Amino acid sequence: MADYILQVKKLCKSFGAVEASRDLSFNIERGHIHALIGPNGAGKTTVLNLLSGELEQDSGRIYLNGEKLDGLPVHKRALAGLGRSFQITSIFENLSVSENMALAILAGQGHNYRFWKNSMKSAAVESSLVEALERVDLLGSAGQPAATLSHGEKRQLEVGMALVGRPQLLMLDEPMAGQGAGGTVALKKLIRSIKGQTTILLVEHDMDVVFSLADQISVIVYGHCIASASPEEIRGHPEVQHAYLGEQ
Amino acid sequence: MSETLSKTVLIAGGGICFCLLPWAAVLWGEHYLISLFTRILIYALAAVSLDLLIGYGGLISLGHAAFVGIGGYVTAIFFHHSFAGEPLAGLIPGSENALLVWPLAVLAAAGCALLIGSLSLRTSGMHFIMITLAFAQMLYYFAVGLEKYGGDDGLSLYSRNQLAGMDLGSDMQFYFVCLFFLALFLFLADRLVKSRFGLVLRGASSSSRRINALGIPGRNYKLVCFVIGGAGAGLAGALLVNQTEYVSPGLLHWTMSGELMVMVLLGGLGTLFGPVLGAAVYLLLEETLAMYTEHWMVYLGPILIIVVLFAKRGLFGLLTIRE
Amino acid sequence: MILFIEQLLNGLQLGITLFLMSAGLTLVFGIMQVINLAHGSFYMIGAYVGATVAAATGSFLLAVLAALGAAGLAGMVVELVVLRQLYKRDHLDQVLATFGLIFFFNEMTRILWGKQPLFMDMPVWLKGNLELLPGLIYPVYRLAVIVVGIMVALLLWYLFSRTRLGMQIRAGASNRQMVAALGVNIRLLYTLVFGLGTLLAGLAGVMAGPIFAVESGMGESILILTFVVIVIGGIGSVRGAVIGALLVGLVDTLGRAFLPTLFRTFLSSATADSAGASLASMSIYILMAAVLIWKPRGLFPSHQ
Repeated sequence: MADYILQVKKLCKSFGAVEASRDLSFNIERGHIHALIGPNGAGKTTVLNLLSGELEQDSGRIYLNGEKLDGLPVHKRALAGLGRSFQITSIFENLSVSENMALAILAGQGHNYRFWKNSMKSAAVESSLVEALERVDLLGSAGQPAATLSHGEKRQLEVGMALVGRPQLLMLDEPMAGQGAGGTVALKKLIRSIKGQTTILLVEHDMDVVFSLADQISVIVYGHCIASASPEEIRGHPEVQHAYLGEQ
Repeated sequence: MSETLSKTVLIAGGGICFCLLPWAAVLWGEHYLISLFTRILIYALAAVSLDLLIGYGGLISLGHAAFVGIGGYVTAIFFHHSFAGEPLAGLIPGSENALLVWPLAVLAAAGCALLIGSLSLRTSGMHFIMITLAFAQMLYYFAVGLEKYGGDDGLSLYSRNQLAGMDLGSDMQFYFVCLFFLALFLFLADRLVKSRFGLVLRGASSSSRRINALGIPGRNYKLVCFVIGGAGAGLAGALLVNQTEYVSPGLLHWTMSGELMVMVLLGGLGTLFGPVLGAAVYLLLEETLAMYTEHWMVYLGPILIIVVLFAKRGLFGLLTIRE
Repeated sequence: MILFIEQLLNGLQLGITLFLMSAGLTLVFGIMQVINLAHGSFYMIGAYVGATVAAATGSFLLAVLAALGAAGLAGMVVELVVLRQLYKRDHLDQVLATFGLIFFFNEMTRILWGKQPLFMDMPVWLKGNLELLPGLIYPVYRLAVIVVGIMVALLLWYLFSRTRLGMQIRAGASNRQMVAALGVNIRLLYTLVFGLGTLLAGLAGVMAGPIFAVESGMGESILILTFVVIVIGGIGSVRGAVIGALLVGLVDTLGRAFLPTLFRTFLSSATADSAGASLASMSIYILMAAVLIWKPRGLFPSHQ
């Protein structure tokens, strides 16, 4: 019996007449890099939003480590072990790189209703900041405003921030989007390096990346998961070929 | 000169000027200056509390004046009942004691901010802006409806509150009380924005998506910020009512909120100390320009637009050297 | 009963005014994502120009045309000079800049027309009352306002559902980028939408002229009510503007008419009147709060 860190059972979500998710089910094994692929508009980002709690499903269940995730608000799911990067990189543009990372560190320190002492001088920040920045190669840019980072560096920062909380499941939404060749290589290296520490759910369009990194691939078409198997099996899967290439 | 040094010099310089002003006024024989600058100090307090909301929390509240008004009315109502000798609602005795009434004014303003904030923060963006304006207007009409306390005409106080052994009737003493509170609020606010709470707040104002994805319920922190801002405004209201010995619904009108916003913008958003400068410049302009033309507002409009479009960092930003 | 119907009609008439104000504004909010605080100024311009032309020429129709022209023209100038700079800016900048516009316009009217309110005569051919039902006497003018409002609503309905421009506007309200990508001249669309909004505001203003006093700052009191309508109806939704406007108009009018009387049943008459009036003026905000608790994005939020 496989050790599933995430179980998604028959998720349904409609926006008016549009069915974004139809009886969507798949499971993710602990320690895997699990990729979600599918044609444009298939509903992949919707799945991530349903998992993270930004959207509420109409029906269906989500289990993280066997615990029900439904009904929990976004921040509670994050504390339960869900980390996320967004399609459009989401960091704190008005803060410096250090402050961004410091916030990520402080997020795991219980509540932050502390009004007196300087945030950057708190114990948790002073002990973990350098390491957290080094992990994503941003120690050199520590003092810079985050808004001045390059696109790739912003993505690194975002992933770095998500990693601080030692997530059990890290969801990456099209991390390679907008990256040049160099950026893609760096990110692939980063993802491989964290593979042991966390399970990764990767939504990606870049098939080279998907097939070189993923242990398991689930294919979403019209909001439904039509196949979930190893990369070799997916490559030869007739329905998947049909979905991507149409009638032959 | 580095940025921090120029900031420190500016703030210290300003502080010294404010401390010396009353003596200078007496020296020049222009006693009314003390009264004018007391008004500046009080408006500065209200503007700084608004800067906490807008500049640090990203909360564009168009109804901040309502909290100033609440603080003012609580002070005035307690005074009225004490003076008239009859208790409020037949139960609570009135009071002229600042040590009792001012904290109550602050609490009342904070309480209203908690209510209004929890409702308004269910929304964001344009909704939030409109809703804060609407709630403030609601409180304005509520104040107008308070027939017992003057309604539209407002309420006059017989004198200023009693504060321990001091004589607040003396303009000089009252000036320093206001200066004390402004300095105290600035000090506390400065620590606050640099603290963990402040960091979370600044992050939440930048990206509520990311703050929640990190595991922090951003909205709750914004609410606390809203309440703290409301409390500061409430104190300003109590002081203002003492200064003018009068309160009226006009204190809650949206035009007042607008004036506070202009002060924050002119002085410098997100600088805390900038709004003090903004309040001074705005009120001094009002005094001097009004002497030349009663229609000075027609110039203020375009000036405001130009500042917004081209000089967002305000006077404080212009005066401190960027590194 | 008669009194109730009369107040119902009054509420409808206020609702029409609010609809005219909010239909354009909700589109500006929804399509251009610009928060425009100066919308009330066009209402005021319509009223002032209308009142002046009516007094000078004695013709109400000319006054209406002049008001529409002035509001529309002022709208285009504002859009070109100020608003265009604000589309890409954040909401705070928009709030502050449009605040500047309010200061400017309010003071301008004081300069041009003085501080005293203007009065606008009701046109002779709309004076008088009509007996709608036995015992129900209602002013013709107010009926005319209701009729005009319904006609405008129908015109807008036709515009939005049958014409190409209307379709582009509706599409823009739910997906701006897509519309631009489809090659529609977005700049022109924006100017037209904004102009439509100011035209409607000017119409509302000139029609309100004979009923309310025409004075500096009149735009802002109606603007706040307009905001309440938009919050209740949902940003970007004209349907929401209709429902919201009717709700607000009815609640406000019926509240003012009947709450004091209701309070008199268990309070002394002086307290009842002031408490009732106070609660009545707060009633629409309480309504707004109630809607927000139930639906934070309004009754008909557009999916943007």
